[in-house]
Amino acid sequence: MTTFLGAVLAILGGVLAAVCGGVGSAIAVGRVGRAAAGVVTEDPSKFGKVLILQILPGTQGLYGFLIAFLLFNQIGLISGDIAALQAIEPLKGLMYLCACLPMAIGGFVSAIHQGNAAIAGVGIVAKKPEESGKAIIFAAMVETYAVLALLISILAVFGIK
Amino acid sequence: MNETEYTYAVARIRANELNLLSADDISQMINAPDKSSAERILADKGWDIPDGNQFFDLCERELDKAWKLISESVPSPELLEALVIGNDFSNLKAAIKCIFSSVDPKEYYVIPCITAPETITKAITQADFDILPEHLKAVAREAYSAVSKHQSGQLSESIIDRASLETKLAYAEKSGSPLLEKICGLSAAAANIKTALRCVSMGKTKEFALDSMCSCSLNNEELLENAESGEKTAEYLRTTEFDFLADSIKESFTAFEKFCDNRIASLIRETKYDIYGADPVAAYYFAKIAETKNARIILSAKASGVPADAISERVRDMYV
Repeated sequence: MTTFLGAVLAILGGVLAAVCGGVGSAIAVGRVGRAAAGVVTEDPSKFGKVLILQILPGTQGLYGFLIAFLLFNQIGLISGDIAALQAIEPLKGLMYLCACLPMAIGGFVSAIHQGNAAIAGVGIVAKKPEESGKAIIFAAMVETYAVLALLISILAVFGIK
Repeated sequence: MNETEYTYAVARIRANELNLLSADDISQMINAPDKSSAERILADKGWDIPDGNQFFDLCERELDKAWKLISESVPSPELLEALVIGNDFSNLKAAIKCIFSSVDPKEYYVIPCITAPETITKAITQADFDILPEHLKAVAREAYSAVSKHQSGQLSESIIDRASLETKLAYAEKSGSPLLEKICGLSAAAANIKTALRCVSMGKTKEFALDSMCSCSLNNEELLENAESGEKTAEYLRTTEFDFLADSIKESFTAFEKFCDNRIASLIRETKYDIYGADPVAAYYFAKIAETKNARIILSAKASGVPADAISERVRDMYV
């Protein structure tokens, strides 16, 4: 166990990035989906517009998956390189774990809030479908912070030697 | 209940808000040359208008459609029954009055309601109150005995009115909608203020007046002591949380009722941009009530040839 402590910490970081991003996206996409279904019940012609809003908070799940994939590739988990995994010192493993936290926390929080902005956007589409572009922009603004979290996690994962 | 459970319902409500009457629609109706032109504006907004062969109350029909929409959209419609439970009590009142006067109550029943009017008719006709739901059982027995034993229609009505307000308040508390609680609280207080003023002006005993008033956040005894005139009531109200009602009660009952309706309109406008919770759903139903109230005022005024200026004075503020 002690031999793999570094690897375990690193894997935990990847798992957190994937799970937190995924859970946040699942909650948000589900909520926006409910709101979108409400609008489509009344006016099926608005399906395309509300679908875009529903997709938006799904990206955090992808970003989390990307970080986990890059990290697992970096530490040799995907290739099954046991020697490389054993070689990860606990301190290095802890650094990998910390490198994943921006994506895990930033992904979860931004997904939930992007979902809220997208639900409000669904309300705009319901009442003023001609303004749907603005509704998408409001929700997309939250994406900035998910992208920043993704970038910092990528830089950190690749920066650990 | 988790507020996000209402997301679907709120989105459906937002889509349906497009069909609510706007201030412009109301103004067009007021300035319409006759009743049928005003009805055409309503028809354009999706209202069912009775033709020569149909007889139905178009306002009740609209409220029934709104309640059906709410019931099928929210996760637990029973939590929002405070919106329509008052109609059960109106129907009970109609049943007792009609059955004791040997008139068919069918035409006097209002919709939407929770209890089937047929059940109320059967319960009153056979004096079998156990077939009624819990919220009507005791009040039906008491109101029935007020008429059958004491021959007092007025007492029967005051028993039902009080029970109606108290039930609405109790249902609003369990609804999880702060807006619904606030509006039911305001309605109960407004009803008590009117009852106190009426009872004092008609020389009713203190006991009768207190029995007719429901429990609300106002102190009923103090209210009654200050109900000699509109001015005195206004002074008393200024010392309570309902100080905003003080000026309108000095004017007249009509002004007071209009002010209360406008206050409700301003409360529901606060939820216009909410995305979660039961408040936007409740707000939609109150908006429909305001809309139907205005439609009724305008259509009856048009039928009697009341000039546009006089109608404008009576109409309530709109949600849209």
